[in-house]
Amino acid sequence: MNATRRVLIVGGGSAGWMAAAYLNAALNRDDKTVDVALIESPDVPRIGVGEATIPNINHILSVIGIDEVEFMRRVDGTFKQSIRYVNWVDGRGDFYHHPFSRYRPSPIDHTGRDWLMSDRSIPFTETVSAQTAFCELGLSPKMIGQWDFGTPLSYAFHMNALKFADYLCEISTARGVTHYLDHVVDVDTREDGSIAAVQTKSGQRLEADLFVDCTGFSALLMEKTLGVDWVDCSQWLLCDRAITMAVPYEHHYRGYVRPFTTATALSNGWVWEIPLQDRRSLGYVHSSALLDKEDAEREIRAFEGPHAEALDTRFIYFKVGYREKAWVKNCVAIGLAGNFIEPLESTGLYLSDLATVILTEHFPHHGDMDALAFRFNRVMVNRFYEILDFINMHYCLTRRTDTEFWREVQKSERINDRLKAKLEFWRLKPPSASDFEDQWLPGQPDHPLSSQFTGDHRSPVDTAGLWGYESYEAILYGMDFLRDECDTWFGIDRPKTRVLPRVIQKLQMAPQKLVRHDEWLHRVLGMPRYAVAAGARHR
Amino acid sequence: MTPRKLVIVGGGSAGWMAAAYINAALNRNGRNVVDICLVESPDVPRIGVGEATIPSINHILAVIGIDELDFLKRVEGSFKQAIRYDNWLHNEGETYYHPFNRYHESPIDRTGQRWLKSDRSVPFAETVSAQPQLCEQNLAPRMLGQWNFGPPLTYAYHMNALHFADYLCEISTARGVKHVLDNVVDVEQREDGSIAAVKTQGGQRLAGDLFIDCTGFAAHLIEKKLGVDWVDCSQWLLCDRAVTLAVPHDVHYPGHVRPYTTASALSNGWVWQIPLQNRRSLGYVHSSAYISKEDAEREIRAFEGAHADGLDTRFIDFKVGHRAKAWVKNCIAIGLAGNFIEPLESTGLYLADLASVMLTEHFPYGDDMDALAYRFNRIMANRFYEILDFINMHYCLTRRTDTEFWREVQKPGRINDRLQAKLDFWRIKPPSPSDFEDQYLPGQPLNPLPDAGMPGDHRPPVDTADLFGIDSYEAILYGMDFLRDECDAWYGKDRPPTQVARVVAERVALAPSRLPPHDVWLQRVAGMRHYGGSGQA
Repeated sequence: MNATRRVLIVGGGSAGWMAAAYLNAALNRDDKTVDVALIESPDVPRIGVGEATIPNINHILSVIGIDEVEFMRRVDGTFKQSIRYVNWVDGRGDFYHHPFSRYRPSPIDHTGRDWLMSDRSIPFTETVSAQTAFCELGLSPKMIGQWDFGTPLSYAFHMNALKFADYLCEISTARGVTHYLDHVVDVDTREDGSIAAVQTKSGQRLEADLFVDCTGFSALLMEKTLGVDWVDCSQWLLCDRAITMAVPYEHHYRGYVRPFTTATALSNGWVWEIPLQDRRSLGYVHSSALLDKEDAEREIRAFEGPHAEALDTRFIYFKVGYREKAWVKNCVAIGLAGNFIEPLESTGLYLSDLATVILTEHFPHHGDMDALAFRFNRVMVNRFYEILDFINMHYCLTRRTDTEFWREVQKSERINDRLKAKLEFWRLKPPSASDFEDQWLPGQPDHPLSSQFTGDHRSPVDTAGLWGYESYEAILYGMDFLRDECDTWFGIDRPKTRVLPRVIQKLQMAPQKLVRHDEWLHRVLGMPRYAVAAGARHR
Repeated sequence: MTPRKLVIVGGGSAGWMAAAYINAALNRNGRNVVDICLVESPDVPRIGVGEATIPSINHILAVIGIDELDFLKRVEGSFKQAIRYDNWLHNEGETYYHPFNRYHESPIDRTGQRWLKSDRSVPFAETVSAQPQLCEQNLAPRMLGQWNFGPPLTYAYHMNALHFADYLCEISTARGVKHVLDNVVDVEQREDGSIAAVKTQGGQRLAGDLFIDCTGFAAHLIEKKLGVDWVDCSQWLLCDRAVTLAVPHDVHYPGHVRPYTTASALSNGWVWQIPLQNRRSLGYVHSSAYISKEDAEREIRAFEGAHADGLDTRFIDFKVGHRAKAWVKNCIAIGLAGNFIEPLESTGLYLADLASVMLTEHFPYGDDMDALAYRFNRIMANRFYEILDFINMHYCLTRRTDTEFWREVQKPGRINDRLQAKLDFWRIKPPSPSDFEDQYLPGQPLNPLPDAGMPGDHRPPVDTADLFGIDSYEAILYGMDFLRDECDAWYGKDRPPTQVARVVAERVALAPSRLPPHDVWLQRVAGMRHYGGSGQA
């Protein structure tokens, strides 16, 4: 059998601890194949805000073997069934949902086309998903007792990411992951340029076969040691800063906990609202070029209301882009050291998850790593650009013209070429399932991936590994896409929009089956019952 | 909207499937989006043998709205749960299955990895699927009464393709598809080169907005009129001829109806066995460069046995390849006019299906068709090369050296570059799910699709595993004993016995009490005649 491989993870944020817990669980299951160690600095504070996830988090929890209720208790977790987008179309109170669950009628899903041929009197996702209405009603996606309400609803979680890292640390170390609390002061490389060991402040020299760089934007190993470039993508996503705020329920509780993430467009970006068990977390993601700090702070405080006046705010800086190769020699960058896309679709933890999952699949148990690294880099870059397209689309379809920011995001040079090819094709033929096979559409240029390192000369392919036609339809039709085209194709006088009968049945039965989200959290997790703030809208 | 006029030229199974599917999918809810006319020659005989399908056929039946029982009765249909491959590895009586159904472990499926680390004492497919055992016992994938045997078993059908075309013709014409029995004698083009109309011997002029060429290898519209080239792929798949034989159950009934297709390797190719309700259909697919007609005929007769002596055989010539573009101007080639890959994985009807499904998704409601055609062509090419890789793999992993044919198929020149890159990569790391995202693996060259002088797609096809994913690759790779030496090196020679997944073992144990023999099901439910006792060898 193979010798056990040694992995050293440098950096202990949520990316680092997720990698530690997942690699340890996935690779040492049938027999021990890897020794995992993690070193984190006692000095560097973790970046952690209220964090929203997408349903793939359930895969991670399941592989690590984490009980859902225990998890939610430990991380102040709540359920997330959708993202609700407010004021993205015209800024006058419009909203739409991107729910995790929807119907796909068989044998051919005509729901998108049927909606386009209708008068749009009901928002698209409400015609194919009961979850949109469940969100508006504030219902939990789980029942208090045994589930007996048909197909389970897909959901993800809102959580406190700092507590998640602590929890994963506890699990990992209990299972044999070595934890060093020490500062890395130097990195030893071998003649071939690979990393041999890291040296610590306390004088230790930690060797390994594989190093995972989870040191965030500073990218201690990947950039500082190996000199791998960062590819900037800020041309297509303008936001580079967020101002965050937490509103404890003890300070102000509205009387409900939304079972979804809210993304409300403001003057120069958008604000997230992520409800936890003890507070709501807010963050105004904006462009520093178009809005100064004072105005951003004023705007988020005004958004939250007078009770926000006494609360602290904090600025976070970020840059949209990715490491040209996330795996070089024997070093793999995971988390912000590898890539970053703004959190509009809650893909931050997802990209770390994915890197960990793909590293597990491509783990170098024996011999040469180059072919494995090639493939890892290819999968990561495919997915990065897939997400980039999708987030880019949320902005560029706006009809807002009230600020320079919203006028700017609609400009041609702010829409990446591949997305442009998609949108143009869908103006000829509305999106349908087979578009998502390779999404190589007419007019799409064939820019190869940059290749400073030997490798990949082919452009990234969007294989809809994360978002298929269902998600694209939710955003496109939520943004009122093809409005004028449909007038031309199907005439102005069109029949009323119809909701799928199965959705109506679900909605009729829901009140007997599902409790309110806050009620579920109180009864199952023991979330405290907070006093409702005077004047808060109760529902 | 004025309905679009669609003219289908050719009435084989591809033509009638296109007519029935497009009519059902587009003219739904009482709308009349497209007027369909199918013209077929009263003189040209249909190519039709016993045909095996893959589960995608169920999509076609569902969209057209065909009742399964009615279908089975009309087409002499039987169930297919797998393909059984005999004698592909050593020619020593070995067998492996490619089942339609398999079990996956959650949250990470380690079944492949675990089999590789074991002593291989149980074939891989049997560790993850009950279907190989169900097949060995000739059990139906359906119960006689209400199903209560856990998750349904995936299946496709064996059928008489001529009956299927007749059945679809009947359905389509009853729903308003116009049927013209006449010979096409001329094709009229517009100035821009697109097709305006076809003229028939009987003096009719059939005008249309869109034309589908279902005239088989003759390709009357796409090749003879529009001059679109055929891209030959015989470098990678050597077989170009089949000799077929039908054995009526009246002449010889083996005592059971196999619920699977059998593909037995012979001296210079392989023979299919497709059981229908009234006969078995056989066909020896071979390379005309390596074996003469006489020897091929002798071999298939010997394969079947003495009772085959009085039966007729028929030769079918074919060529592996695809139309450089299957959709050019306003003309779309579907069926053999568009592409052909030998039937080892029963993908013939599938490729015709897929073309109809994709045309429906990309149906041109206006006259500007270029972007739609581009995309249609891209998807068809992606899928064609995906199938080509997969079939190519069945041959090149053999260890047979008994004939020149089997020595030849293992040579590097016979393995296409993309498949070679996959196999090389999997010798470093066994196949795992993310390999199938775009299957662009290290060392894979960037051969663009042929553009045949037409504006188009210069990017290589991408294998997105839409048809054959990791389940299918593992079935063939491990069925062909792939990574034997590598596993000895990685895990040592002394490895633990192979384990069968518990859910699979339970299902196999329960099966005889739940599932009837396949022929019993067909007799009781689909009206198959009795040909003697069932269950005998």
